Amino acid sequence: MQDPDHALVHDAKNGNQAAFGKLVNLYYKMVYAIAYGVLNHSEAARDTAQEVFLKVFREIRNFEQKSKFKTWLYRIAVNTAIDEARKKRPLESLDRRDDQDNEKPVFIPRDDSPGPRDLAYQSELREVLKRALDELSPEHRAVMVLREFQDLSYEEIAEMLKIEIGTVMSRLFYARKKLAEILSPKMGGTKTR
Amino acid sequence: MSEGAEEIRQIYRNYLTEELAKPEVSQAGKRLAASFSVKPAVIFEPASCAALCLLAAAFFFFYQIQPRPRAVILPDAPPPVMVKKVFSRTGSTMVYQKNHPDIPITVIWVFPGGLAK
Repeated sequence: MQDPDHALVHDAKNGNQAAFGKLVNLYYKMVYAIAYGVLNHSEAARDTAQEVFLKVFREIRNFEQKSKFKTWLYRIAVNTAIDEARKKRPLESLDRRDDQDNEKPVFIPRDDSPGPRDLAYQSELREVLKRALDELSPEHRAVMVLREFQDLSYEEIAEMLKIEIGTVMSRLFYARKKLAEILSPKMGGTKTR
Repeated sequence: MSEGAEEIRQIYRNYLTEELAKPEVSQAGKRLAASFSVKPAVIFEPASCAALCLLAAAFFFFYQIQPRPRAVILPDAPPPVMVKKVFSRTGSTMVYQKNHPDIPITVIWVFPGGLAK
């Protein structure tokens, strides 16, 4: 199956910057999603997305078009994001709060009625999920975003990250289990009317 | 996938979808795409650079062939002048200048043996 981006990539390889700009437009959100999924921080994800496209711009002449451009881009994006996360690893998460270690689990009563309370509930859940994701390693978050958001197969993820399929599955299992442990108590509770 | 796992998957997908929906994400993408699409200014194109270099070379050439001021040796002593500038008060070389109405004068005294103390 031919790469749908073949013509654009061919032009970009020959120095057509407008063609490369179109590729950026097409794939920016995908790259940002991967970067954010791994780094869990907006500013870092924006910086990493930019770095990814700069790398691609420099290397596209060497891209032989034997595989799809999207696949090549995925690989660069996830590896750049993981490298970036490893650089920041000794530091606390930029969004981490000082009192996080002393925080007791918050019981958020479930409320199915629409309106401001629902929005507040969703907002709290997002915050809890963000903190839960911070407790995973970048490698676990990478598998999560590639599988649960980008819908890649285990084989594709294994090939991209240069790991065994079994490792993909075990990381995914661990990540889901960890999130369930943190999120499930917060999603329960009595309904209020 | 169990119901609980599916729910968490959905929460995770919503979480990323909401992040991608932020206006600053789209704006950042558009800015980045535009930065690759912008052509450099005409002045940086090879033809323009070559023309500028030629112009600079021509200017330098014509500047070099302009007549330079010649040294004038006066047969007689110059009229008394008031010292306007002194470049060196001590040492073996003294230079002073006076812009005489007819002849600008620069006098350089050189004392090979240095000044007597």
